[in-house]
Amino acid sequence: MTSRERIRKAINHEEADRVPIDFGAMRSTGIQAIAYNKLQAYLGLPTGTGKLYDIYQQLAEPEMKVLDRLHGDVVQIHHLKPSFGVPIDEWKPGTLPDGSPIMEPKTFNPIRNEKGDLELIDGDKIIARMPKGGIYFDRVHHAYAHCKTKEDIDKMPKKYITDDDLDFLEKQAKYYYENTDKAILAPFGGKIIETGESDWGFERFLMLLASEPELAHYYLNKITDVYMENLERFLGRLSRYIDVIQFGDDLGSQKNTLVSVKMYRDMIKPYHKRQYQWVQKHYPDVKVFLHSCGSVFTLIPDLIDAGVQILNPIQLSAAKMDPVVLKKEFGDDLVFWGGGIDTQQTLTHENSEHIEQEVKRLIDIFKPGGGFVFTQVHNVQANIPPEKVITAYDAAFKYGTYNKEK
Amino acid sequence: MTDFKPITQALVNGNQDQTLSLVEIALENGTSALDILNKGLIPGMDEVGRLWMSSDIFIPEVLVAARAMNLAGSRIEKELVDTGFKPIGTAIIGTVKGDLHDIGKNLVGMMLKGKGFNVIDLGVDVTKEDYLDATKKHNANFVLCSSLITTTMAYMEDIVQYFNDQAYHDKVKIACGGAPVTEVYTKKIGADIYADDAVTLANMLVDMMKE
Repeated sequence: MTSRERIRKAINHEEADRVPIDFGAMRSTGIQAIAYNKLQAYLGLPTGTGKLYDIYQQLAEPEMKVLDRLHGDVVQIHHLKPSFGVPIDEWKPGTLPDGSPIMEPKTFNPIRNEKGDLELIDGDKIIARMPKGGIYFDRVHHAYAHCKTKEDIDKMPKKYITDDDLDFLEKQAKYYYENTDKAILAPFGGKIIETGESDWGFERFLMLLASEPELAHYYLNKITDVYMENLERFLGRLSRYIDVIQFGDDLGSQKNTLVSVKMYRDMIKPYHKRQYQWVQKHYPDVKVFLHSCGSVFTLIPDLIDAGVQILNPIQLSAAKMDPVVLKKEFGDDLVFWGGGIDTQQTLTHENSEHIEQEVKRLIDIFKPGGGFVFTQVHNVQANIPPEKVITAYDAAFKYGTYNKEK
Repeated sequence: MTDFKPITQALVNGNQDQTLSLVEIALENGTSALDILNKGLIPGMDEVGRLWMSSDIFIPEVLVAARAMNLAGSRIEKELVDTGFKPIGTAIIGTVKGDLHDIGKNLVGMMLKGKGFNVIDLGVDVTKEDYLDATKKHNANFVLCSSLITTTMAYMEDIVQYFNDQAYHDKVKIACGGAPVTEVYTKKIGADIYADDAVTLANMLVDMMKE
């Protein structure tokens, strides 16, 4: 069975030969570049060859040798400018915060400020910052921060997908489709609450939802109109190659949902539904994948109703995210893409023996009937030793086999 | 005599304009700023905390209520100082070095202000030296350290060690919080206080001030 066939079985709720594995096929199932270098060294491979395709979270693209060693069945394609407007079509040697080498985008040139922080500048604005001693960039500029009225919103530029971006995406999709047997995930985004938080600032946008719903709807309608045009062009070019279209919107915190179920239904769901249902209607072979961190348990029936078919990352450490309950309640409707091993506590604090046991336990819960793709909960962070990563993925390979005799 | 219930309710509803205008009316009627705080605003934030804990409201509603509390608090600040008002205690809050995430830290600050604490917010990416300097300068009772990610959490141990090395840990209690932080971890690094959420933490600190 090929990787592509294995993924297709799983996302159609059928048992394949084994549980398929994702290592780094989207920006929340991957590996931080420092940890990637350590993983390469541990595997006896040359380091510094990884590409820092996500400068925001400092993620390295797993190369095919590493992907195959970790039994990976799926790859992602990238937008031309995945973060902060920096294109990733040309590369140069660079250095990570720990001093190890990496290939970084050619025009990625952060400036060091007087405090020692790294800053990304766009025109006259500082748009992102990696604090000294930190290992991530975070957005510090919010373009809509000054907006108070509909007229202010009307003046903001619309973010249509470009032909260059579509060409870049299609070239990768065609290459992987014709030259590998991996399934392909295409990142669309279509974020509603997260784009709001990014555009307006986190607290400002959440307050806008609560206290100025009419203005919030006006803004969300505008961005969704653009998403719908982008979506049509995106899938028009990519649908023949891809199996999964990835959306994102973090709706949970550690303890609960960020917003009430009612607020989700009133303010966010209509814009999710418009996009997800359109995909299901026009491209039924492409599955709708939603990445949504935190405790999202109480929203899952609404997410399914909106059109979500695959959910990630299944944050086991968050409240109410009990794998047994999730599989029992929603296993018929939802593919769990993640939840294979907890990163916040287990990968960070526990030994290899414990990690293997947890992978086995979770696979036993999630694998019956298909509908499960193994990956850790969110990205492997910089401080995770490579032997732990290998242990987790080898355990997934070992215990993921379906016993066809039964 | 002023009826404080409408002030409390306006705050719980997150209606900042109404909260402020009711506070103005109360002041004009000769109600003391201290009574407005203790009988109107603080009960409002207590109710917000209760509703949040019982999942009757969520972060957006907490934020708009805290915004109303802040505005009303600023309005009566001068009168409070004039009457010799003393906050229940002083807490230094900040997100640790290397980490720029602040929503959790801000929610803790809002709940503490709602309990009548003097909250000194050092912002994000805060060094151990800045925590200690602020603690000394404000003669703080508590130092509250927040982090969102597993990699920046490790700096909390450096902070505790620094307070130990500078012989100041016996004068202040250190609390740790944020998504990856647990009670076990807090104990392991030698910090003093952990709570699962902002409301529980604020209640704990109030109790500790009474001891």
